[in-house]
Amino acid sequence: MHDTKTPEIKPGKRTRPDGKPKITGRLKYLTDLHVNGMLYGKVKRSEYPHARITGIFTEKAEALPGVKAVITHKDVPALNAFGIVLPDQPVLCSDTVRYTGDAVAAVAADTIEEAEAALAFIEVTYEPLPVMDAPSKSLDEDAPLLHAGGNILHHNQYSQGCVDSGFDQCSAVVEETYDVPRQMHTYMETEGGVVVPEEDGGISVYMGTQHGFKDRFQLSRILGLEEERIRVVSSPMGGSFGGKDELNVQPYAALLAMKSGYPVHIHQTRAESVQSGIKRHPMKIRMKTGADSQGKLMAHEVEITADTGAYATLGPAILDFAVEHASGPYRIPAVDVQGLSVFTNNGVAGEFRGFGGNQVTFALEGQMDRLAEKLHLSPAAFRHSNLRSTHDPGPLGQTIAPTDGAVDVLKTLEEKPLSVSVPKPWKKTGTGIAVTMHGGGLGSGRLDPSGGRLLFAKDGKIEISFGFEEFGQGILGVIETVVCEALGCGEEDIRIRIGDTTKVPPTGSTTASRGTSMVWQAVQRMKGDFRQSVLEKASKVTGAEEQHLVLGEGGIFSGTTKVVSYEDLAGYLEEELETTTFFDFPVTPDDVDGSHYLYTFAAVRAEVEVDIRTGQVSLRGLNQAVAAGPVVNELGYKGQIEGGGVMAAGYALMEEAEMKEGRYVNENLDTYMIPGISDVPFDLGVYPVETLHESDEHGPRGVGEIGTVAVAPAIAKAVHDAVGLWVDRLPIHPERVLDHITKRGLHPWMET
Amino acid sequence: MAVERYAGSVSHVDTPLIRFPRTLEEAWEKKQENGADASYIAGGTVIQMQRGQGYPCSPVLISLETIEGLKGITIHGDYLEIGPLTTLEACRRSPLLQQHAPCLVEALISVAAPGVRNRGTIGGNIMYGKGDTLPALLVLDASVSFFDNSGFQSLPLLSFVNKGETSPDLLSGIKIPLPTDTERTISFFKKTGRREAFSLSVINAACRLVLDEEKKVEEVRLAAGGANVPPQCLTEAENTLRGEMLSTKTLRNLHETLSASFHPSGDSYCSGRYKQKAAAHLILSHLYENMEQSPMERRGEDA
Repeated sequence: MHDTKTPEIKPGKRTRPDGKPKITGRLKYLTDLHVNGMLYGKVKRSEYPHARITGIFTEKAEALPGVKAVITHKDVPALNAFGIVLPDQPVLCSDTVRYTGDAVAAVAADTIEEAEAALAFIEVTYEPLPVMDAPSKSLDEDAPLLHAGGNILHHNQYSQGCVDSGFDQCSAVVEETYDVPRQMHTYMETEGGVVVPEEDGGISVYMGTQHGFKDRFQLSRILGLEEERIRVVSSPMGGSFGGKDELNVQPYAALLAMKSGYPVHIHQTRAESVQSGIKRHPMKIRMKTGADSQGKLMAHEVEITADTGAYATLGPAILDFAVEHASGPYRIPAVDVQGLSVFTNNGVAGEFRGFGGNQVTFALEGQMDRLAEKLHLSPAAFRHSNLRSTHDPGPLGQTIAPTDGAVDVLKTLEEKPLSVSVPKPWKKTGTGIAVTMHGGGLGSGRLDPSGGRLLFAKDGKIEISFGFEEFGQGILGVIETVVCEALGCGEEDIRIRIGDTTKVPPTGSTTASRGTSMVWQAVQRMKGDFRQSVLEKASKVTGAEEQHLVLGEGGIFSGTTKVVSYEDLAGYLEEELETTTFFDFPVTPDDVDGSHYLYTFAAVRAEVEVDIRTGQVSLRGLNQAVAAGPVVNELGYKGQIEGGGVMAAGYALMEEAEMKEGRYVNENLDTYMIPGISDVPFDLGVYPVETLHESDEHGPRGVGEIGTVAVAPAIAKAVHDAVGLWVDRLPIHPERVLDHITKRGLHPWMET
Repeated sequence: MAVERYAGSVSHVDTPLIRFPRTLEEAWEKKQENGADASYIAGGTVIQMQRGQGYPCSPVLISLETIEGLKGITIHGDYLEIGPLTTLEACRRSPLLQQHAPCLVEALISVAAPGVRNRGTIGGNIMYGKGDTLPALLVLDASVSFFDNSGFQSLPLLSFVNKGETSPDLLSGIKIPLPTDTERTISFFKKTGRREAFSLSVINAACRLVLDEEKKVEEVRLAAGGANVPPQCLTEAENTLRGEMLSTKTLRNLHETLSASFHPSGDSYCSGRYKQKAAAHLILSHLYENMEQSPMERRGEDA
């Protein structure tokens, strides 16, 4: 059936459907949306990281020309709070502000300039309160309580065996405290879009998010409006990386639209996005890890303190994930992990690609390298002798899908040659490796439904619908590939529907590396029934025997002959043919709350050059071997791993959303550095390990996060290899590197 | 605890009036008419960044783009002359600068990103007061001509820069003496930023020295700058080198002098001590490469 048309591109190398409109700049994002008569909204945020509000005066602003609505906490009809896990963040603060991103009021006006000017006329009086700008301050006995429940958002722990007796058997023990920074998602498109008030009293929300149905639920709770009267259109987005999972400006545009009766457009500036947006959790992680004289890990003690900022969002789940992944892919008989997520008056920390795994993996892999050195073993050999094998339980002792991923990725990476580097004056080169495992899905005991819908539509299109979102990760490319390969049809034959709560089934969040996995599973569940219903109809219409018919490109085929086109067949439909499925993300059969069942693995090798004059570290090579099941779309897969690698290189080498006394030091992209193309190695190696265990029927896994997880520790080890500095703090600051080099006397113009 | 009240103040809507004078004299007059309410604007890249940082834009902008005769790079006798309105990118691509002022070209390559270099001008980079080209221009002994209430004047660049930021002058030309003996000239510019490209300077350093026939340093200029470090000549360090051969001993002396005499201030990113060390190492590494007894093998071992 395929020989009637020569495919231009190998199926695995499909160009993503949204690729061309994006690179040509033609794609309209939701922030580009212009609705006739729309107003422009601006949000007034707190002057202080922590203060009591003593007065909010809006009269002057309301009297300004062009101003159509001003809102404060008094205008929130129902619950004045949001938060995916627990709603503890006020939409509009009434009595207390807890960080500088807290919203106090918002304005809608005819122009952006009028809205901005009006903000200055809203008078807010404050009584400043002591600023808890570090978990250590919040945890002080005399610290003021930031929330009624206290300053600890969440505590979690895991232990197995006895670490004390474990350490007694060790011949090498290392103890280190690691500090990892607050990282910004730095999506190209900042938060925003338009909210339109509808005639029936409902609203339509055109704003990016990672879970349209969750936004609908949260908005319903705030607005006191039935969910069915809220339509959320949420794709496409110019990036998210977790950063748009939680609500951001949707409530303000919605409240302003409802109060003014006009559509309201809000699009945050970069500075507004920095100030209000969530970030990756900064963590302080102490680890004490020991191995016996044979190089076997015996005991591992971990203390994680996360600075979750002013509000919860997904902070509890991120801490749980960090606790789970604190011993990673290693077999360690005695483990004790303690985790604490602490409220402060710093920026809110929340969901970000890697979800707590990146932080603990940096620490864990640092421990592995330090132990290997103490035991005079190569970093790879030491890891090999401790990596989990096929049927070992997961890191929380739970049953997981059998996998050789950990060993496979490390072996694959070891076979790949180093890039050839020419020695350069004043540069020291080094290489480091790291390994990790990363759980997919939200975890055991959490609502994690999925599904999908296939429809043979009246216009002859095969319509595939999911409640997933496209934020650049390539879900559209995955859906197109999976559907075309499963059904045998061509990409012209299908129509993909995502990102609109009125048109798609609720199939769960587009988070936790679950998209690819869920799309594949849904299509496998639906393809048989769907194919049968279409072929039955084709058989009736054409008189051909059903068992000889197959779906192909452009229509139904019998052998190489097309017997009817999809369009013609659709003409005979009395009603559209629909197949739906609903199921949950696979979880462990064991009762281990929050634990994961499907894991992906990565081994990373980083090559660096350290300039001994300035201490600057340049990444010269980055190779990643990834075990995540079969590759669905080669270019999409490569893009995720390479992109993740670059984002993690930024985390390792330059990115830090530093805060001083509760305020961001770097308020924009002139001083908050992310890697540019000159910081990226010319050749990034991506080596997929596609085999799954013979019993594994779960198909391809998502790779949205795995490419970011183990990059920083590999870079840190490469720096150690180059100049001997053990890195315990990210980003790796040239000043610390240079201080270390200076002590080693590598400069010939200095007396040694 | 004190109760603080944050009230709105009348702020004008940020849409400046733009004037397009035809001559320097006319531009000067417009500035006099509007006083502190007016700013000159050339490529606009600095003003744009400052608006992004929340600094209010002047209500009147006097564009210099329509003034003729302020663009281009030419040779006049013993001098290279650069029109201040020449874009950074045009300077970077100039064969004359590549041949006669390679360290300035090095500096230009390191300024911002291509989009900024296409708009930004060399005059703007100077008037900004923190531009990366300043240390390179200082070691090239550049001088500038400018227009103020007493007409056209000329000053060595260092004196001009030291006049301070509030100077209302209007730059009309940049002059660089042509090097007399390129064979015996060593020059370079080095910048360290927070990433490989498109970054503010952490610190930058420039050097130009001419050796005599006995390979002794005859002429020397060392300069540094970047971000909050004012562009400056490193005079004491220059004195250490003058008349000396480039030897390990000389470089050690130079290192000591730089440590003792160059004290840049730190910022939120790094300490002043780091800037001092990085600048010193960058300068010394280049001089080391040009030492008389500096076989590559040894350098390989040392580095």
